[in-house]
Amino acid sequence: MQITVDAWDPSFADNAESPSRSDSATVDTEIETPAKQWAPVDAPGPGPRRLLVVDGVRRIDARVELSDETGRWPGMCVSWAAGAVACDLDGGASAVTETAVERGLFAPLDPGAELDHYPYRKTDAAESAELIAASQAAMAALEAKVAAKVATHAELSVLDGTLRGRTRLPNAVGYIKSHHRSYLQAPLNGVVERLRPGQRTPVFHLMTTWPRYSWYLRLPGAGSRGWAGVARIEAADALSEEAAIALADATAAALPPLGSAAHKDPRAPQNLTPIAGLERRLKRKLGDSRLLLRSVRTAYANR
Amino acid sequence: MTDSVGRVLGTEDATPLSFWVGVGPDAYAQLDDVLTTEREVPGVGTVRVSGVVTAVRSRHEGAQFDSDVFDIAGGLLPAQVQEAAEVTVTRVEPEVFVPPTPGAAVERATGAERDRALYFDGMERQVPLGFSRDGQPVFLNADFLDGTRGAHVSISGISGVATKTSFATWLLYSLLHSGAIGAEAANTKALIFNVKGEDLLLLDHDNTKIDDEIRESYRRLGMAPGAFKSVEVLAPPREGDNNGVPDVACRSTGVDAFYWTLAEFCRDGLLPFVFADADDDRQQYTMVVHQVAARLRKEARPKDNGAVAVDGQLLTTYRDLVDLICERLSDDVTRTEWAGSAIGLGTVNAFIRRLIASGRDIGRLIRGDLPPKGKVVSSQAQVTVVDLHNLPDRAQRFVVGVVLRGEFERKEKAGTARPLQFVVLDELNKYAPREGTSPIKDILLDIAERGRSMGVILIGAQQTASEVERRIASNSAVRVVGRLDSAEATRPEYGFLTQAQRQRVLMAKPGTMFVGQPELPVPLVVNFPFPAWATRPAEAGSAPSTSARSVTAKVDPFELADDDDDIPF
Repeated sequence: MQITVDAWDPSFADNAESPSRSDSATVDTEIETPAKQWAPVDAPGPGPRRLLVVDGVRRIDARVELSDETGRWPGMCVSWAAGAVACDLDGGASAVTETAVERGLFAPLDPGAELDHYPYRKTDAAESAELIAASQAAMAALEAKVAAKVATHAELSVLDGTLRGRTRLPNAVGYIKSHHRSYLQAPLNGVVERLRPGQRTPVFHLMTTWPRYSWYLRLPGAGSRGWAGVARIEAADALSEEAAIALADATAAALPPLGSAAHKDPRAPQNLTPIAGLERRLKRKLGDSRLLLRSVRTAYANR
Repeated sequence: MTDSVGRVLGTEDATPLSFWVGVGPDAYAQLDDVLTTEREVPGVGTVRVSGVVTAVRSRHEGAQFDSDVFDIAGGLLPAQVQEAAEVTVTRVEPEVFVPPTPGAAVERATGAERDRALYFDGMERQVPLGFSRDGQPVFLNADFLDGTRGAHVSISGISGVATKTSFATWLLYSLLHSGAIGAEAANTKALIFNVKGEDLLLLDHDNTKIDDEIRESYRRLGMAPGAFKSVEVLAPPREGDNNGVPDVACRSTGVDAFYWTLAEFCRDGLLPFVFADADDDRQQYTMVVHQVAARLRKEARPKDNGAVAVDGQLLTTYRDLVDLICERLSDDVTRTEWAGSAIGLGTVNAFIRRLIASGRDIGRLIRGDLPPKGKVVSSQAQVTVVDLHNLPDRAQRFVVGVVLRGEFERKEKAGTARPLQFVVLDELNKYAPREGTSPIKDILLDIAERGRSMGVILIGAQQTASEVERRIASNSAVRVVGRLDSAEATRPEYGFLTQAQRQRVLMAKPGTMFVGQPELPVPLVVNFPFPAWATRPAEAGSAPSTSARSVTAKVDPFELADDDDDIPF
C-alpha cells in the first residue's frame, strides 16, 4: 500500500460542514407557559457560583492518500483535545481541572502500519467531510469522558455544543453558539428577537433525532436586536419539567457575566470567557502542527 | 544537599552564560539565589552549570489582553501563573561551555555546591563580607585584598544611604578579626581618614545598640563581635589654642593632636601640599612654589619647639613664615633668590595671593610653639584615625597629602610589603579627580599602581566613581557599590554590574553592597552586619581601658606583673 501526504496545508480541508441530518423537528412550546403567553423571562436573582465548563478542540494535522492497485482512499490525521474549567466565582479562581488529548488517523482502509502519534481509526466513509464528521464524533466522545470525570461537584455544568450523548451528567446543559436553523414558529421567534441581554425564552421541548428541553438566552455585549448574542441551551429529556425550568433559570443568571468581549473574541459574546481560555490552553496542548506534519511525512517516507 | 527549583526553559534561549529557569509550582527563586543544573556531554561526561539568579518574573499564561487579569482574578478565565528566573552563569565545571538542556532539572545549590558555584572552594583565605539574600555567608578572596594577586578596594555610593565608610571599616574589621590573614593580622596597620562628622572616632568603643542577633551574625561569620582593639585617634589642634589640645567633641581620652613644626615644614618641603594644583603644568606659579620650598629647606635653621630662624629672623607661627616669604618676594633685591630668575611679577603675585589665603586654613597645623612630635602616624596602634572633619578643604588636602607621602616613603624605605598598611580614604573624587593634577593625586596614583608590591593598600570611597581618576579605579581589584543615583548607575565605570543589578543599586538599602571580585563574573549582593563598634556618641559604650590609660600612662602597671606573682604579704 502506498501512502502520500498531501502537500497542502491541512487546514484547507477543515471547512466542510457536517452532513445535515433529518430536517423534521417536533417542538412543544407549552412546557413553561402556553405558547400564546410567551414572553421574555428575567433571571431570578443570583445563580450558581461554582460552574464547570467543558469544551473540546480539534485540528486536522495532515491529509493523506492511501492507494494500491485497486484504488485510492482519503485519510486524515487529526488531533483533538477536551478539557474542563472549574470556575469558583466566590473564590475568584478558575482552573483547568482536566484535559485529555487524543490523535488518530481516520481512513476507510487500515494502512497496515501505525504512526507513533496517530493510531488507526476505522471509518466507513470515503468523503473527507465524513472523515471530519467522524473525528468530530471522536472529540465529542472525549468531551463526554472528561465531563463525566469532573461534572459531579458543579452546581451547573456547561458543555460546549449539543448535549447529545451526554445527557446523564447532573446539572448539565448543552450550549449552542450558532443557529443553523430555527426551531420555533414565526411568532415565537419574535419573542427571541425581543429578548433583552440576560433574558431567556420560556423552556420548550425539542424532538429531532433525539429529545431534549431547550431555550434561548441573550448574552450582553452585542446589542439586543435580532439574533445577536443569542445562544440556545439544551437540557436532558430525562429531567422533570420543573427541573428543566430551574436549570434554565440558573443559566440565565450564571451565563451572561461569562460572555466574552467583542474586541477579545471574534465569536463574542456567545463564546464564553472560560471557554475561550480553555480553547487556547487545549490548542497549545495539541502540540505544534508543523512539527506533527513533519513527523507524519518522515514516518511515511521511511516506510 | 540540594532542593529542586524547576527546569531550564526552552522558550527562552539557554546559553552557557545565562539561561532561564521555569520555577516549579511548589518552589520559588529569588534574586541572588545560587542555582545549579547538570547535563551530559558526549565524550566529556557530566557538566555542571551553576549561577546566580539575576532576574525573576512571573506572568499569567493564557492571558492575551491586559484586561484579562480581571477576568482571571474574578474566576472567569482559566490562566496559569508561571514564574521564571534568569540565571547568570558563574561557573561551568569542567570548562566545557555548552548550554544547559531545556527541561533539565534545576536545583538550589547549598553547602559545597554553593561554595563551588561562587568559587569559595578555591579561596584558601576567606574574608567574610556578610550574608547573601538567602542568609548564607559570602566571602572575598584575601589574595585580592592583601596584594598577593590584587589589591585596593573602590567603594562607590551616594552619601548617607550607601554606608560606604561603614563598609570600609567592616571590611577592615573582618580582615583583621576573621583569621583570614593569620598571624599577619597582628602587625597589619590601617590608616583611616575621617572626613565627615565624628563617625570614625569611636572605633574602639563597643556599640551598645547591637543585640544578640547581630552578635550571632558576627559569630556565624567566624569572628567575635566587638570594637577595634588598638586605635589611636589623631585630631588637629584647636583653633587659637596654644597648647595643641585636640579639637574633638565626642571623646576626651585616647586622642592626640597632630601638627607639623615649622622646622619639619621647611626641611621636608611640605609647601607644595599647601597648593591643591601645585603640579598642574598649566599654572605658572608652581615654579615659584618649588623655588620657595627649596629656598626654605636651605635657609631655615631649626630652633626650640619646632620654630625656625631664617636669615636670623625667628619664626614661631605659620603666619610669620608667610609674612617672611611675602616680604622676600616683594623685595626687588631678594626676589630673584626666592622666586627664581625670569619670573614675572604677575606670577609672583599669584603665588603670594594663594599663600596668604592659606594662612587662615593651615595656620593651626604648622606650629613653631609646640615640641616636635616625630612621625605624625605612630607605629604603636593598629588603627590610626586621622580626623579631618573640622578642617577646611585646603587643610584636609594638606593633611592627606603629607600623611600619605610620609607613609608611602616609610614603606618605600622599608623595602618589604609586609606588614601591610591599609589606607581608608573617603571623598576620593576630591583628592584624585579625573581632571587635572595635584601632589595628592600623584601620591594616590603611586599607591594605586605601586602600592600593591609595597604593601600599601588603598580602600577608597567616593560618591561617583566616574569622577575619580580612571587609573585608580581600574587598579582596584575589589569593586563595591552601594546605593547609586540613576544617572551615575548608567556610567561605564559600573559596567561590571549586570543589567538587573544596575537597576537594583538605585534602591539598595543601607547595609546592602554589590561586591565585584576578580574571580567571580557576577558581583555578589551582600548584607553586612551592623557595626559592633560605636559610630556615634549615643551608641558608645564605655571607653576601653587602654584609651583611658593614655591620660596617665601608656603602659598598664598591672600588666607588668606576672600571674604567678605571690601576694606580697
